[in-house]
Amino acid sequence: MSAVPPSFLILSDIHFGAFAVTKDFALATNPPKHEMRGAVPMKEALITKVISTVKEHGAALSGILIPGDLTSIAAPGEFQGSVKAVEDIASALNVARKDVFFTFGNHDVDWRISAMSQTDEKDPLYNVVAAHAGSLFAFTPPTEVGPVPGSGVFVRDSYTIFSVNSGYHCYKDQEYRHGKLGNDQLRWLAEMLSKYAAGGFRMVMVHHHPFKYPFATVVEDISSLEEGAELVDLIGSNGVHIVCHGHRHEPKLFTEMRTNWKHSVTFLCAGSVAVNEHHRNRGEIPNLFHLLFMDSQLTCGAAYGHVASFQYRSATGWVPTQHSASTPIDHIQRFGILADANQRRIAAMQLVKEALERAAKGDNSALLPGLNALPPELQCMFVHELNNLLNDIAREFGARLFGKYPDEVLIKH
Amino acid sequence: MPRTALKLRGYKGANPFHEGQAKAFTDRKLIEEFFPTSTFWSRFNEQHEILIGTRGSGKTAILKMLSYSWLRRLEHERASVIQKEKNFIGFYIPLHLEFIASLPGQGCPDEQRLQYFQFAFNCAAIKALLREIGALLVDCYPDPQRRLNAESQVLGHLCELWFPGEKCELNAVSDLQWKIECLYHTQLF
Repeated sequence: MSAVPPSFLILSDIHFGAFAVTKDFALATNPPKHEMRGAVPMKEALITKVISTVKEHGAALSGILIPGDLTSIAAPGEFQGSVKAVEDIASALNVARKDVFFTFGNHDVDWRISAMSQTDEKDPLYNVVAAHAGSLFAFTPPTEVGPVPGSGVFVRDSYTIFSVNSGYHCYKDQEYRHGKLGNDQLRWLAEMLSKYAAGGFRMVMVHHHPFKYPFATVVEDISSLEEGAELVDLIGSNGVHIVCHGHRHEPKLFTEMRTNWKHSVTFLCAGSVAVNEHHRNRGEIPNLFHLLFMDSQLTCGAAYGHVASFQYRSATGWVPTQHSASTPIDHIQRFGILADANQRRIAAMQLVKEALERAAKGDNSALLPGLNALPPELQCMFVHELNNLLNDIAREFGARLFGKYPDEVLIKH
Repeated sequence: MPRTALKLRGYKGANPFHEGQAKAFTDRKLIEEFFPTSTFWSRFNEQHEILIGTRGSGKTAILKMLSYSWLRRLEHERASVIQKEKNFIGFYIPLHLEFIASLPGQGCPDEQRLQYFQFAFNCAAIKALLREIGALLVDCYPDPQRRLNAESQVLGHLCELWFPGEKCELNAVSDLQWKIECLYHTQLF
């Protein structure tokens, strides 16, 4: 593997066109229906924020991932505009065009063409044409071409991306709206995962989520991937490190492990970069983008890294995300370590114990190590849960904490 | 002669007039756009002063910028001196229309109205003061261990004043701000 671990900008669910929130991601001839006016320019501010963040991390961007829903209604102009916007961003960030990776989502199938399959002709091939529309504009030559547009394998020095198109079967007459890979893609992916078994960090990019995710109220989530169970099995048993997807506009980052898997897998559900508030729980969820930094591979083979997430505010531009029920992700969220509550507690107790020993030698107070110097099982917790855990343990030792992670924390007897 | 206004044609940046009042400004916007005049600097004195001006004339901007936490971020020689000397620690208590409107109306007995105003004003004042305390702690104690020790003492004293008899289990000044915010919003008058 290359000495430099890769890092990526993730721009999901751009929804260029009528569903976007800003003119930056819409055609001048067809402006957004719910445009935010007088706001900080979204695209420019995004570029500025990415440049400064990547610099702070001492990294260089390896690529840009676009996990589907580039457009609002798959109009040709929307595809062209969306790709142009992404290319502008890539160019400003010094990311080569060959390292911009696209797949497609349900919004990237042109339903006006798809509807023609229902006319008197009853020609189902209109559906195929509708699902191919995006590939005329959003195409990066892969190392290995997949069976449908938006699918392919991209092999680079330090990583390999397996891209599959779950929007391909999202035709107008689909019985219920959901993601589907189809047998051809699933078989092809199994073959590719086996063929490209080596190759640094292994990532799968897909639009729909392979799991059902809960909604704010209890309702059936029918929009997930039809072959989610099969895809997850393939991913786990073939040693994929990261799965990056979009679709629900609700960010999530979690690591899973199963009995027959090679190692744990981290799933990143990205939020939407630019869709309007009607498609973001009436504005409860902000527009988001993420920077994914791979740090290392653990001895078990799993990936260890962190994601920096930013949310958009009309007055100030892109700012660090704030963890909330609808945006359950810390601004800097580490991933890769699977630790149960007991393991986390043991690590936290050790930390507090050592700090109290240091405190006893001085003025009865001592600083706890910085967040980045904590044991990995603690770094991968949500920071508010980490603070709560450490507070509980400090109390058990008759001590108190002052300050909170991610800032400095002091322990006092 | 070409009109200067024409240069604005095709302007795609943020609307500079999006926020019309300093109370709604972000900290960064206020600090970046504030231009201190000699009149502003002469406000740093021990006298009582009344600031009078029409809506939008800049009263709030001046009051905010007189506060320690905003002033310390202003890149200006005189601001640095005031910050270093710490002879003048200003803090700004926002008493905007929404605050006044939230107070009980005519149907409420005078004594209760006064009590409510005092309570609400105290909450607003301590929140503003805590903001300045946070900034002062950062400036006075560059060493994090000393700063957090000082913060723990300040927290202890203030908790005792505001929540007497209650065991203080707060970790930071920001926790106390939040606790007072909760108190304000849950107090039934």
